[in-house]
Amino acid sequence: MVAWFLAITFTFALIRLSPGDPATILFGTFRAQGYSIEDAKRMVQMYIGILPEESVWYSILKFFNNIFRGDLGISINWRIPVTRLIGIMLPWSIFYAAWSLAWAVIVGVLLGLLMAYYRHVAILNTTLRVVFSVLRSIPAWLLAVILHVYLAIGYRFFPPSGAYPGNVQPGLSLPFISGVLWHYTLPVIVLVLTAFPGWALGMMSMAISVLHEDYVIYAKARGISGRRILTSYVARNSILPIYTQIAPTLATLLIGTVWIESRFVLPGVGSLLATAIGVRDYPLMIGCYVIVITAIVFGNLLTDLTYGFIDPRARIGEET
Amino acid sequence: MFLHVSSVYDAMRRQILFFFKVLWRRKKAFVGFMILLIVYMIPAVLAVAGLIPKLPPAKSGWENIYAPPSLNDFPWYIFGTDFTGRPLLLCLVWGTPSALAIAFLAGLFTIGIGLIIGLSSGYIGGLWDSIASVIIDVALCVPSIFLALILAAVLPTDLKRNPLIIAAILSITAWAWLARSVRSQVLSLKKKEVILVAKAMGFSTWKIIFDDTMRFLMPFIFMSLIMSTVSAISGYFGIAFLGLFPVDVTNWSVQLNQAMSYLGALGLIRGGKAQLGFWLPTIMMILIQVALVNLSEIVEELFNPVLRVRLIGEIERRR
Amino acid sequence: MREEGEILANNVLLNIRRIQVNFLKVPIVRNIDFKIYRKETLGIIGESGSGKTTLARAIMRILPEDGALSPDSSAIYYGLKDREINIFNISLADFSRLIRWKEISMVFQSALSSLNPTLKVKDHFIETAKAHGLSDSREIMERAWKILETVKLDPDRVLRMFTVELSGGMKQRVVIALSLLLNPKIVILDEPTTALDVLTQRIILDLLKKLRENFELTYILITHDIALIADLADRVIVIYAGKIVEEGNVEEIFYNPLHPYTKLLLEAVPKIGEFDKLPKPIPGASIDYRNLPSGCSFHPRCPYAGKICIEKEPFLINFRENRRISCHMYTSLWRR
Repeated sequence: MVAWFLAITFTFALIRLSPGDPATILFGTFRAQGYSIEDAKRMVQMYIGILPEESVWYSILKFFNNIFRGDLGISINWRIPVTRLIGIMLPWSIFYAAWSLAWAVIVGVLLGLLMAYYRHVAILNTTLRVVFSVLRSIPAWLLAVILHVYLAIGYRFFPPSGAYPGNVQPGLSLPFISGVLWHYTLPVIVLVLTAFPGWALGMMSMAISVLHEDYVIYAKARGISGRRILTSYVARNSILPIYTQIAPTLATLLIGTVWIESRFVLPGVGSLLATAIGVRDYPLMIGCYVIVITAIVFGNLLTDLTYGFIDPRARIGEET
Repeated sequence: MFLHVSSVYDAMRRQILFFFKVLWRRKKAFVGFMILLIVYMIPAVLAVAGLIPKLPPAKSGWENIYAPPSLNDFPWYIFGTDFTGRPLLLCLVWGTPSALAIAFLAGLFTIGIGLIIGLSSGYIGGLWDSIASVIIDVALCVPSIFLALILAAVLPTDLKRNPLIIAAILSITAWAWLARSVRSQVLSLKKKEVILVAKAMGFSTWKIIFDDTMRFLMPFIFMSLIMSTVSAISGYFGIAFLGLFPVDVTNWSVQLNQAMSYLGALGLIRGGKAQLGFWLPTIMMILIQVALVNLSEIVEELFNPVLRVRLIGEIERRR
Repeated sequence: MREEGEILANNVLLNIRRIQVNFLKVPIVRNIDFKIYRKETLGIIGESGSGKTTLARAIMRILPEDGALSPDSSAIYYGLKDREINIFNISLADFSRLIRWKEISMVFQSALSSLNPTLKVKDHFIETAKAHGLSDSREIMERAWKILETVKLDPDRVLRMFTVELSGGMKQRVVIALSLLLNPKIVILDEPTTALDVLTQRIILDLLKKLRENFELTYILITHDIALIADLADRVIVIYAGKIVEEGNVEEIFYNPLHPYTKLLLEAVPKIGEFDKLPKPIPGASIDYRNLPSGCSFHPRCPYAGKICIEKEPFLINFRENRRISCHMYTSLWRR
């Protein structure tokens, strides 16, 4: 909690203190547009909630005050409250990130297990390693660009934009849901491709070290089958540290959406942030930032709390 | 003070020699290293030294934009021209030094700050440790690229021309992870009885902790350096792609952006006019990452005891 | 120590004619052969790194991926009713089905880390039984129940616990219980008490004796603990650098050790009543299998070494029934 608080404070202070302070700049912009000093000040107040001449600490306090009242300012671009804007867009981003995360983890973990078990099969190992090397080297946004330009625009294999087909009405109907899933297929592929190699490699190295553990050798001595060893021994014992990786991966994916959502014209906090940056819509920018940071911190918190549920050792306490 | 510097220097020298032996053993890493050298570092040095022709002025006209490859003025027109009519290869090569500089600077910042905060926080302890721990936790919450994005959007253009500033922005919270690891390593060393014994023998505590930590963490630090360079490159070009850094034709991301517009908007996929302009910057960006990632895998092999034993065994058997 | 006549009169249960194990071309277990008789306890003694555990793993055919049993290794098992089997010749699947755990089982050196931390104790029993074709869980649980009682654990409590909740002694007993699940004839005990405190060691030792009687077991006891050998073993094999250097029954080894290594081993253990004498460690460094000394592997550390010891490796001489020695100096100096 403290971390969240401080993170936002720090960022806010940094922005306020920097030469790019939005309050000052906005004030200047409004003045240049011909507003009187009084009016300009009032407008800045309305949009961001702070005045240019206030001290940093005062404006931070005000900012937090506003946050807890649910007020993140008013978007300069759209002229509606930031909270409402984010409220509309957030579910899409959550869906996108979570759906991609699920696929990335499933594919990654399974692949990692297989790679560990078949680690002596040379061909499998070398090809996968090469593929992973390349995948790890391509940033998410670049992959999105490449795939989008070639597969969605050039060759029209996938829909180039939008969350659902234009002729479908939003609602809990099958055409809508299937339309959404189809339109999200390529974006999900992009995110999964960036995320799953890390998971696979992590799972593989974890699984390999588990395979060398005494209890695995003991299980083999007792005649336990390879399949059971994979599931009850390797998988169960490898999952534990992997579980802590879920939250950070989600954070990375969430941030990746900034580039990808704007590229694929999908609704969501990412594209919102991208447009806000493009037009220097400060309240919206900062609002999105706060939301994403909150999501990240929340994710970390959740992981810490539920870890005991997964690992019997944490529940009971380490055996000395 | 110089006593422990020399021992660290020795350790580093041995590690580097060993590193080259390992490179020879693992061809893939060798290739990666060579790529780094030939494709990136040498052109960068040449460019800075002024051994490469300056960019010609922009040319307009449809036939000059993304013109096909030709043998003019070898080798610069070998990939054709870009969207301003300038030779593509030349533009990209001119972009190499700043890209490398920013990337490595960001990497150095990351491990520099990480080490300083981690070492000092673990060693000095007390109030500074408490403060630093909180700072580290906060920094861990905020992904570097994200804050960099916001900052790049907010800061004025003049500031952003400075590569140091860019590197600083890119690594703004990236140091946190290293700091935390270093700190816990130092703390665990402080508790060991070795410290008491060595202290009794007259060594300064600082020297022991520093030496031990460095020796233990050296491969880890290398890893962090490489990986933070990788993410800095990715972040730099990502943010540049959105147009948030003041960049010009030499920046690979800018080239990519323009080529993408040409390809996408004007439906030139099958026409193939801007293909080179699209793929060449892309390959430049990806290739350097691949080379770095390969190197990091070798460092990982050295770091992981199970793999390391096997690797050392292979090296020794060769002798 | 039991009646010599009673043991040796029984049949051979396992005849290990030759075991050779190489790790990445480096020989670790070098051409070992010995017999195991029914209902006896054979102690195998040697220092860390002498190849004892590798030997055990070779017999159970669970060598790690770097280890290779040489193809001419052979060990004949006579415990099956209808036939004798070379346990190294049959396929791994057949071995798993017929021999492993059913006829020969093993108690691992590291009982403390032999159990899966994410499974409950009863899961270990169930999965072991199921892996060998017993699918009736009630029957399995009944058997597990009985064995756990025999090893003095409370079955109701223990079966439901996660393995991490058990103390060291309890884990050792669970592992022993697991080894008896399928009523084997031979149990290989690899350092069964080393990781335990002294009191628990005593308890486990008594337990092992009782089990041996109740279940008519044959033990292969691998350890570096001489006191354990003295207490539990009938015959002893001394191993150094992957080879047998001496073999005999337990009284002969203790009261009349012939090999210098055996002598030094016995002298290294302080005896009760002699507390004013300092323990004598064995001089020299431990074994490096890639750079074995020439001739007799023990000569750098041997106080009696002569010129011939550096030049030639001694043969393993069988000069009496079940009494063997591998030493040049024996043949010339201490002939009785």
